[in-house]
Amino acid sequence: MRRQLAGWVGAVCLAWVSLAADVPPVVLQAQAHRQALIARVSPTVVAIFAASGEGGGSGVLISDDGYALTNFHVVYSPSSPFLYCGLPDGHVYEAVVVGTDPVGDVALIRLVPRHPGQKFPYAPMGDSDTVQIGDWCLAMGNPFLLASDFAPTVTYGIVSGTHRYQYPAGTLLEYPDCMQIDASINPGNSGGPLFNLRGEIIGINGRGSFDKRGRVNSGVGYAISINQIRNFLGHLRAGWLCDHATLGAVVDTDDSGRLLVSRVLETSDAFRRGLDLDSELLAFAGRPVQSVNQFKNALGIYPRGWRVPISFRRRNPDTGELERKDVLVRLMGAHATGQLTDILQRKQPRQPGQPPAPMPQVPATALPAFSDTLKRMYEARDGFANYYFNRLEREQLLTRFRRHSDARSLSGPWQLSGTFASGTRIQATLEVDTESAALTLADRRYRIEPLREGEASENLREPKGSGGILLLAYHWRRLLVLGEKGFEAAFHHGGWEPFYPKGIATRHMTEVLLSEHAGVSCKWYFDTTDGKLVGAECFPERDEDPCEVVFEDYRQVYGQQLPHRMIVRFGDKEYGVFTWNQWQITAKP
Amino acid sequence: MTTLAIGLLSASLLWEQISAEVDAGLEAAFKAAVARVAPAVVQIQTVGGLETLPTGAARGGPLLRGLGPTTGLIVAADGYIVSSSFNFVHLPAGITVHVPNGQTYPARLVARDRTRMLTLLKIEAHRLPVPAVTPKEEIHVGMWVAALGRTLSVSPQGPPSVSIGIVSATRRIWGKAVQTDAKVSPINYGGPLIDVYGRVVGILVPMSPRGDQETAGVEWYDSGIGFAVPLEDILRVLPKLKEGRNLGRGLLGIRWQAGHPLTAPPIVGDVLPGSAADRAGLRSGDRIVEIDGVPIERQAQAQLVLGPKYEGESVRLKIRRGEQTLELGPVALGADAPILRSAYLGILPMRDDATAGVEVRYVFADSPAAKAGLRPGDRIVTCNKLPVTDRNSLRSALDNLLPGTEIVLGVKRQGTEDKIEDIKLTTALAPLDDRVPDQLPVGTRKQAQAAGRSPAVPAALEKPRQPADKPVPAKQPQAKPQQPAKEVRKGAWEHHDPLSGHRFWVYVPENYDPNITYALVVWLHPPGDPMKDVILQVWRDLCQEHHLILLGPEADAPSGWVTSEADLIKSDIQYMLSQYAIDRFRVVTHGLGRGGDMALYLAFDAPELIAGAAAVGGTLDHLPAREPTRRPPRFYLVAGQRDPRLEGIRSLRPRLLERNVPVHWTEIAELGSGYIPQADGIRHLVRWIDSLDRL
Amino acid sequence: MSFAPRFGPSLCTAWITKPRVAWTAALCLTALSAATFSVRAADRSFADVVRNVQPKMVKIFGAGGYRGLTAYCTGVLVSPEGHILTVYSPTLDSRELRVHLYDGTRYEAEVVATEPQLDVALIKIRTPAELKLNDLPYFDITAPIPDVQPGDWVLAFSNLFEIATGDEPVSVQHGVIAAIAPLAARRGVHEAPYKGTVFVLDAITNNPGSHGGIVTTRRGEWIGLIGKEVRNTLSETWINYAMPIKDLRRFVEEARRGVYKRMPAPEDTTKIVQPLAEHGIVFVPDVLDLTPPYVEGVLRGSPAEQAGLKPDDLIVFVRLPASPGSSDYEERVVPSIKSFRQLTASLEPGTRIQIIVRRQQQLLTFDLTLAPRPKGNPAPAKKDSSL
Repeated sequence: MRRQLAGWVGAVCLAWVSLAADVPPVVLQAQAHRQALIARVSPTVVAIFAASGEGGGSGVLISDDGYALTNFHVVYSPSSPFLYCGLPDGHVYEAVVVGTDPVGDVALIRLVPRHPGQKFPYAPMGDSDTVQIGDWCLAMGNPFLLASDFAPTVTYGIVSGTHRYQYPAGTLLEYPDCMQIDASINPGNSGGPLFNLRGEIIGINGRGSFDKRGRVNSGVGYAISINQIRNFLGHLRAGWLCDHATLGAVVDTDDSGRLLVSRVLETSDAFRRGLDLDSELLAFAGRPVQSVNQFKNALGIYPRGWRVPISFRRRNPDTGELERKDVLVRLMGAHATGQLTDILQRKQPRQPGQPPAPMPQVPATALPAFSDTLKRMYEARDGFANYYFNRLEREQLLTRFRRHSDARSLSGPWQLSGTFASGTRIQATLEVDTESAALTLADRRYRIEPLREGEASENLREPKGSGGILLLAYHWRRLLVLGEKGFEAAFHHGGWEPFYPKGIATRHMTEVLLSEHAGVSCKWYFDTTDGKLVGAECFPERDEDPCEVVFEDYRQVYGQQLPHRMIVRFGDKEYGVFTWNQWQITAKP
Repeated sequence: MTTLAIGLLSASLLWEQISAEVDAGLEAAFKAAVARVAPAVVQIQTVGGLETLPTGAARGGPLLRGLGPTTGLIVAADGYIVSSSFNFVHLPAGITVHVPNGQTYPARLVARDRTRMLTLLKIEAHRLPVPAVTPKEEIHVGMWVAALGRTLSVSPQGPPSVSIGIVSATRRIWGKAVQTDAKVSPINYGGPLIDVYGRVVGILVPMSPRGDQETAGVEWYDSGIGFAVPLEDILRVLPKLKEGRNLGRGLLGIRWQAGHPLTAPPIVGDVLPGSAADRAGLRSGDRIVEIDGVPIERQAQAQLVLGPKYEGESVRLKIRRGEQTLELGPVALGADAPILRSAYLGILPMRDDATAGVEVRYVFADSPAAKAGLRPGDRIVTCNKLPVTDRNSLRSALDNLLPGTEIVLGVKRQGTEDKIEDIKLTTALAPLDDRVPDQLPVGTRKQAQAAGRSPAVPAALEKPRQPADKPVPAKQPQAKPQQPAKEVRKGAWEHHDPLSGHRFWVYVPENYDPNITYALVVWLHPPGDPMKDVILQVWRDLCQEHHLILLGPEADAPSGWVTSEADLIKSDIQYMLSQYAIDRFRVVTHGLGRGGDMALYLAFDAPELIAGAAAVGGTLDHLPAREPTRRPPRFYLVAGQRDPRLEGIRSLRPRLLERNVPVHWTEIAELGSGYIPQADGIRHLVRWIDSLDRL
Repeated sequence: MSFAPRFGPSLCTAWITKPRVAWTAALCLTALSAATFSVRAADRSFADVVRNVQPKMVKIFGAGGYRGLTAYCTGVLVSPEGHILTVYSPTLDSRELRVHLYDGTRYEAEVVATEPQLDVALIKIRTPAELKLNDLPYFDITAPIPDVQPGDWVLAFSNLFEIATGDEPVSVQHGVIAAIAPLAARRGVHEAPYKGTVFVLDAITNNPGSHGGIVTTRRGEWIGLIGKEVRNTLSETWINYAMPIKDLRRFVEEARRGVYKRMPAPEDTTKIVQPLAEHGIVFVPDVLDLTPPYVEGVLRGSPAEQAGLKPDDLIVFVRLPASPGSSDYEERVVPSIKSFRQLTASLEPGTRIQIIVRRQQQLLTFDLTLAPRPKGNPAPAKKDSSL
């Protein structure tokens, strides 16, 4: 029999010479190119099994320390944040949920190395906005949990549509700005990567349009664009239960196809920036918008709290003239605080196209025992998927921040003297200590004691038009001197957000800290590379404009890097610029 | 010099090619490839046979058979043709084969490969074209492949139908198949999957990791999930098939310790007496570390090595037992293992009983227990000198014995003037039988706390044997998987998952008592009609009286249940187990008509979860895979003599008995395709459920 | 690329001599491809083709939503004035039939002509008198149609599942022509109206709302119109297909000019009529839907007896005139007694047919000349007709 087989193979080899001649090298080249590419990226594809022993899906590694992306609906379980994962190396890994985005159906998980120092293979992220309809793509994952050896199923197809909008179920699992593909994806592919032909992740496969045949591929699958996920990655890494954003306004198209504001929340930043009923929305976050879907697509890819530029045309209330406005707005959360958590406790997402559950076992034994190493990587907290990772990110940020400048030793009263320029230039002195903050402008002196009983709230906004520079300075000193100890109510890593030191044109990404002390919350922006504090916002009142400060011109003082210029803004206006030529910090009495 | 010249010449030619479009080149290449294989791709016509395909319960009604021809591949010049067994599942009266050279031959069905869903045909022809084969080591994920079929060919000489895709994975269905995203369906089942050179990678077949009927996996047709059995593997067994030998799966004969099959460690749960594993000396608790030299970390990896093996093939095992590592085998794998009947004593144990030992609740007439003189009220405290702590320990003790084995029981008996006697009883175990007692004493010790009481209880048995203040056990092992912290929902309620759209309803008796273990009755409705109200009306009082909980999953489609929904139902059951005090030995699926089919299917699909199936007017065309199992599901079949499906339903019974499965059979003269008419009929069913935990 | 030829010799000779080497050559070539051939080495995007086709597609919205019928479908512009070819469906039976063009502009439309036999309809954008459309992008149905074969790559454009509205482009899928075959299909219980030869595709193109979409070659040349969702009776699977536009040309051209005349409805061939002629075969009792056509006996002196048919012969094929009186014959498989009766019912006395039967393990062919139907029914010959 063996001889016979040999015979076959022999025959093949003979046949081959003639065979090969028919196949143009370019074809083999393209084929070999694809095979090589698959061989390169498939080790990064994760097979995910819910701890409940029920269901499972796919994911993809995006860092060598084991962070992997998947769908929220794959990993969500009200009972346990822990998971089992299989990699194509054939091994099983423990994993924990890091951060979740129920609205965007995205989750970040972290795999635990089997041995210390183990580096994971991972795939680079591409740019989903450059994807064109008709481009080839590769979907990888574990449909119908077929991969008993954890080698992913690879399917090949083209992009059928881009910037698609797929409606949410309730308020969850919304697919804005997603990609539509004809590469076959089926139950179990959920959470798996969509690759371009450069081997970059361009999306996460999450759902499909199913029809008469029930839950099998019908030629239409959808992938969450990687650019959307990138916007949330900071929040996800910081363990948040992420919420998506709303502009605080509802828009409808009129007969002439214009996008008009039909409702607007007066508490919204957009309203404060002048967006009103019947304003015509022209562009959102740099994207022209002409239809409701385009608007939903443009909006749906941002986390709550982000600041993005919008353009609209409105009739000026005073002059009655039509005017175009290009402004930055802070996006509100799509859900009220705590609402997401409630929804999740009410229902357990299982979406059409969830993979079939593998053979169930006796529940008593189905829940696997996870290692203590893993269990230590979880900390429950309201509003978070896993607070352990917020702590982790926060400590790393603070370390970078203090490597740049550690002011904890400068615990005496501060006195900064220099000039204040707002049109004219005048003398200015800022004094801050643990109880109070005072500012002298020429001969006028303002002073507040934030902690004093009955400190009038309008004082906290002093001086007029600054929005509360004194209060901000007070919190600023607390941050530098006391750090986390200075903020009893909240001190969280806030993910990544764009920061605009000099207006719309000067956007760059920063890392954010959120603090709350004595009922006042602040937002601190740090340079992602050197951890320098580049700006801050202070909110004396919720749903009102904060006082904004940009810190610049850092110089060596008392052996530390401290800013010598502070640009202060409030609402639509710039209040003025402080230039400090002297920092005086008396040693602690 | 000349070579250089040639080189330059060919270089310019090559340059031409390189600058040609890839897709144009591909188009041309595949047309050539198809042309090369086409002469070996035959068209198969059948006459007669069933007009519908037996699909097992799960696809909500049988599959209509296509009227078109099907496909096969010539694998030997002297007239051997391999095709998918799917193409013959309708049992045709005649088979003819059109060879693309224009000839037509009657064909003979030579043999089947049941592991790979293949059928070998023979026609009396010679010097037929035989295709080249792609060596397995050259099958790479991502390579171009085309699936060829003859169903759509207007004439057998014309071009075969073609679907182009890539290889998606190489070791699927437990190592037996290559996976492709080319569109595979009844249009090309039995046809070849070819590479861009025109060599044959494999034969296209419907396949599914969850079921070995010829039709399993058909539901995935055209979904981009397609399978082909590598031709190299087929050629390896071709000689055996040519001899007319049907090839079956080789079984080791173990059950894994519970756990997620894809992630759990390969620890042996139990070993079937007489199986290959038994002969090799494998024991419960052994951890398998190597099979045939392949390191094994997970159950799935073991399956991957064992999956492709045929009955009679032998394996070597390396295992870890405690501290020592042992080499076992080589041992020849067995044929499909018949389901064994577990050894049977002939009693019902008292449930929810805190005291050590097992109190005898009921003794079946002329059972081993009866022969030994065991009486209700007796408390079994040892079995073969080993202490019996509760009914589970007695059960596992019996599980490891075969019918016919002699056992010695230590029994405490309430003697006269209230002194406890110790007695030794000896008896030979019998095979499990399925008689249903005419009346049953109350099944739980906790009756005192429970509201309501079965009127069926003979007065003599009502007096509690323990003082009422006996401490309540915190937890009955297995009886209560997860004692819910919060107050559990009682009465009738519904769950609708807004995302999947999946619904089920539940009825928990208002007098639910978490200290009593309940039976779970999973109602599987006929197509289109959940029958919730009917069932509630009929069962509500029984539930309160006999400690039953109802679970009513609802099918997605009005056309009835489909395979994938088996998993939804299983997870619904898991959910109930986690919420309520449910006796794992009394989880029963119960359905009407095609719902009955589903009930039966589930019992086979998840024997570890479902103790029995009660089907009214239900049947299975194909019995699912015979997984070796210790505790076979029991069956309670009711057939209406006016039921149009009567013949099909009747045909099930012998097939079950042939498998050694306990079956309780009832035929009702006046019944059509409706539900059990008389109340006492249902009470009988309830007693069957109540006595499922017999030992 | 100037140095590319230098790869030439090594690679090319490799191909001609040793395949394995060639394989590895291809592989290392890939390694280099990143730097040199990457553009050519990878599969080409269809993006430019897609860009060029999509402006000609329209999304159609109309009546429906009942009996599982969608209220939307797809169409393709076939004139610069806004004539749109689509599939004939209840969606079009609507007062406010609306179309969304590629650029998002919305128009009312009206039905110009329909052809149930072809399952197609021509509709036209309705515009106020003052603005006459004359510059819309469109496909010229009179343009030469490329000859395509099974295995050719195609692209399918349609608004399946109503994914696109307004200025959102319709969905694009890729695949190959699986086969060019007659559409043997059924929708629900009814037969699909279109009877002609279709392009069967290996992409899942036929979904809700995709009817009226188009299929093009990979170069963007229009070759087919996507039809309704139907099941294929050959395999009992949902079939993905498109109607060749060459068969729709006349309809479109004449309908545009307003001179189209509907085809006559074909007479129903499915119902079994009293056979016109006698073959003399007595079958086993026809109990099943697919009772195998076993010969029970033959009538004395009947064509069957003369031809030499014997009891227990199993009829597998019959060769009969392609059309009544025609001289060219076609071979038909005979899966059941019913189908044999249907096939032969309409044959005139005197017609010559061939019956191919399986006897033991051979196939035998018999020539019969059908006789006129006798009065009354003579008794069947004894089973062992020893004459």
